[in-house]
Amino acid sequence: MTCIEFQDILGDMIDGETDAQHAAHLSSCSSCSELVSDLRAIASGAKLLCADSEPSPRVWANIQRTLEAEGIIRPATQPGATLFRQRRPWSSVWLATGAAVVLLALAAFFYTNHTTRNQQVAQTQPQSLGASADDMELLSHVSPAARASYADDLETVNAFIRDAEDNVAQNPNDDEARHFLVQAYQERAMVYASAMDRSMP
Amino acid sequence: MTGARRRQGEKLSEAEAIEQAKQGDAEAFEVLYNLHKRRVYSLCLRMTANAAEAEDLTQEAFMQLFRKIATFRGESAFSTWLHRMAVNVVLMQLRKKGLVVVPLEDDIETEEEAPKKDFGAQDLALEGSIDRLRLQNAIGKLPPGYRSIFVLHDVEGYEHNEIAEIIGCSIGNSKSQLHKARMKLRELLRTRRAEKAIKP
Repeated sequence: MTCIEFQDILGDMIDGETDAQHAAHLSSCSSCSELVSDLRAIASGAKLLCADSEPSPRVWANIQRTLEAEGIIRPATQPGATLFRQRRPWSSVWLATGAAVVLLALAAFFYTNHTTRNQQVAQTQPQSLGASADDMELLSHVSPAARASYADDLETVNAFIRDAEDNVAQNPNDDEARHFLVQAYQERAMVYASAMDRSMP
Repeated sequence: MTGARRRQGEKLSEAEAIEQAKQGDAEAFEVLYNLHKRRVYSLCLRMTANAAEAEDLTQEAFMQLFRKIATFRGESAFSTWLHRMAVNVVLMQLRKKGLVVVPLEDDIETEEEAPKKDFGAQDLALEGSIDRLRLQNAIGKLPPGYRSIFVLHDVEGYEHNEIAEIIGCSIGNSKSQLHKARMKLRELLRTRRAEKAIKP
C-alpha cells in the first residue's frame, strides 16, 4: 500500500478500526504513522474541550427583559424574587468591584513584567492563596439560587489561573503563556462582575 | 413544596425548574439559564468564533426555548432539546451568511496529497488545559463550514448521519469536511509549535 492509497482511507480510519493492511503500512511509514497519531490526538483533544466559556451578564439581562415584555414571566409574588429585587447595598457593589479591580491590576502588572521565573512565581502565589477567602465572601452575597453556579464558575476559573500561572512559570518569555494568564484573570474579574450584578439586597 | 425549598435557600432541580417555568416563574427561568448557559454559549462561540455573535445567538436560543417550554413533554432530555435548538439557531445564522457547508469541490489549502514532514515539530499531544486552549484557538481559525462540522462531530459528539440531517448535506460530505478540518487543525497546531521551537 502506498501513502497515496493510505490517504484515501485515512478519514474513515481515524474514527474506526485499523485493519491488518493499514497496520502494516503504518508500521513501515513514519510519515503516515505520525499523521494518524496527530489526527487522533486532535479528535480526542476536542472531546476534552469543556463548556467553560460564560456569556456576559448582558445576555441574561436581555433575556429577562424580553421575557417580561412578551409576558412569559408572571409577576413574582414573593418579596425578593429575581425580577423585583431592591437595589443592592453599596457595600456589596464595592466589595465585588474592588476585587475585580485588584485582579485586573495584578493581571496588567503580570503581563508587563518581564522578570525572572522565580520572581514571577513569587508574585503569583499570594494571589492564588488569597483568592478563596474573597470567593467565599463574594458567594455569601449571591442569591442561593445562583450560588452553586457561581461556585462552579469560580472553581473553573481558579483552575485556569493555576494552569496559566504554572505555564508562565515554566515559559517566562512566552507571550502566549502570559496572554493566557491575563485572559484567566479577566475571566475571574468577569465572574466577580457578574456575581456583583446578582448580589442579594 | 418548591416554595418551601426556595425559602430554605435550596436550589431547584432541573425538573422542578422546568415545571415552574411552565407556570411563568421568573426564578425558574433563571435557574434553567444558569444550568445551561455555559454549554450553549460555548457551542455558539466555537461555531462562530465571535464572542459578540455567540452572545446574540445564546440569547436567541434561550428565547426560543423559553417561548416553547410549555410544549416540553420530557420525551427527550431537556439538555438535548435545548442543544439541538441552539445548533439550529447557529446554523440558521451561518446559512444567512452562506457559511454552513464548504462544497466538496471547494478545496481550500488542505495539504492532503502526501503527509509531509513538518520542520521538526513534535507529535501533537493535547493533554493540558493550555494545549486545549491552543486547540480551541485553532478551531476558531478554521473556515466556518469546516468548523461547524468539526465542532458538531468531534466536540459535541454528533454522528455523521445526524450532522447530514441538521446541515442538509450528504453523509459523505460531512465525513470529507471533518477530515479536511482535522488536517487543517493539524497544520495550524504544528505551525504554531514549530514557531515556538524556533523562537528563543
